[in-house]
Amino acid sequence: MTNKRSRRIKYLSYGLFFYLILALTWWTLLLIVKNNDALNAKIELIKIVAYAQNPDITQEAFMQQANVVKLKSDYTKQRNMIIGEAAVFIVLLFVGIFQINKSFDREVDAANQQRNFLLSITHELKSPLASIKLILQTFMKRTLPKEKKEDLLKSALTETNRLENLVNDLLLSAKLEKAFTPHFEDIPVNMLIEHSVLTLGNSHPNATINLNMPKDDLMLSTDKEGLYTIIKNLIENGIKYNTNKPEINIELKESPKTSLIISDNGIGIPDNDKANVFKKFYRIGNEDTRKTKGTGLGLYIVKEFVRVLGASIEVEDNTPAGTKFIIEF
Amino acid sequence: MRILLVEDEENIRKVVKLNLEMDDYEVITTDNGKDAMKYFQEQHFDLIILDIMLPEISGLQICEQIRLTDTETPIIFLTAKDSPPDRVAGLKKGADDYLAKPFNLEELQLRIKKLISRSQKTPKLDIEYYEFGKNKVNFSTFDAKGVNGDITLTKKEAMLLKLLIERKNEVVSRQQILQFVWGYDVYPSTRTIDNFILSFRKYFEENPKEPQFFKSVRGIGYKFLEQ
Repeated sequence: MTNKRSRRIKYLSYGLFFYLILALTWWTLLLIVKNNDALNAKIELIKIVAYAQNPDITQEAFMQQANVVKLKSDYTKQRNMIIGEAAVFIVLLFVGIFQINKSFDREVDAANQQRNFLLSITHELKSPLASIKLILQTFMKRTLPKEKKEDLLKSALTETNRLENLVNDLLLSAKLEKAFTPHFEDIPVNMLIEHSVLTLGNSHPNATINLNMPKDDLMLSTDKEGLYTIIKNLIENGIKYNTNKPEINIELKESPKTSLIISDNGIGIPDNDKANVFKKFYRIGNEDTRKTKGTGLGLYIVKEFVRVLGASIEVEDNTPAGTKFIIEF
Repeated sequence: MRILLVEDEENIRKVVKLNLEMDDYEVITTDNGKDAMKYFQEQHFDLIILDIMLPEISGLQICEQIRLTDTETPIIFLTAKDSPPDRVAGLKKGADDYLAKPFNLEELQLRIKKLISRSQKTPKLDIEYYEFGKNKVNFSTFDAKGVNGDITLTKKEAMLLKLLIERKNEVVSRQQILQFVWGYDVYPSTRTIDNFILSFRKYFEENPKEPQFFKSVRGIGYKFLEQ
């Protein structure tokens, strides 16, 4: 609905601008024509006076007369001024339209993002809460056999963890925006990667994670928590957005620049979404028919950490399928 | 009583199912809209519980689809979306109730109970004698005088005929017939009903090839037509 309305406003403003330009052109032309008419009329007047004084004066000699020459040059100046004014006006108008459109688009984007955020966050906050509440109410209302009880308790715990992760992500992204100071220290990157892969491999037993790193330990001055979060979020993304058996490749390169390449065989990111995926709360697709759960915070946190650590991140298509994230330190 | 529960949150699905089963409902569950539509077409349900945010087909679309052919089965939305416009959208699509997550278990139970008890208006079917055209049917003796001679109806034939007559000039869907006459909750794909209709035409129509009373409505069901 908001989209429809914003489009209508846009068309309306285009219409208005179009009318302005048309009107301006018309008035400019009219002014030039009138200017010309005035010039001709004045020349006619001088002509009559000139003929009265000297009936034999030739057309050429008349045109050379000082007052006629001055009159003509004055009028030429005036015409140029009109054209110049109109040109400046049009240029300013275009700059104005461009600026207004740009900020309008930004506003619409922000509103959409806010709406997406509300939708996904509502779902992500309320679903675990609903599960936990439901389980507790079931416990109060029913007498359940022991195994059933244990099963439900496990579910409640899973949901509590999910809620905890979400709260952590929200707090982390708020912290990253405002008050995060990285703690730089020399870290053996190989070990950190191996450690992350081990931890994540345990919680995702169906995924294969391949490592390709130089033999010698690579030391890097960076923030440990930050780098770990980056690796973790990228690996988890590759596993989550995947319809195949997930396979993640992690490559660490020393030259020309220290770079970390994490690629997956997942569903990939369409080209027109590549610029957006790092935006806060951005999620590809329609929130109502979502296949995967999420908040649109994972890659945002990655991007923010990359920024804080003074590194850069790029996203490319992986071959034959999937996504490739390249981080350069 | 059978309930279809469409919910993609695994734990909510599990616990709601558990509770409803303890309340003696038969609960069929699925986590996506595609299966939901399939189950709806193949089986009889006394109530449907729908989430809105679902993979591929949203709950709103499912509700809309269901309401195209079935305006009677009660539908409850059970969803995290709780703003007034969302509720209005849900109710506009033809749902009977809307419950926002997190919800109260007892509230859900009560709403389900109420909706099911209200929608259970089984056709009375207390007709004993009926005449249409030149046909006379006596339902208490199962005897009928048709245009093409005398017949004795079987029990099932009598039930189907009663059902069609009770709802004359309305389309009765295959699902409703199978559920009411045969008592199926899961609809077999059979030509049984077609054969019954063919027999009816043979008994009661002057020209069975161009029936005036027993019409079939392609893809939906059958209609008993009488001016």
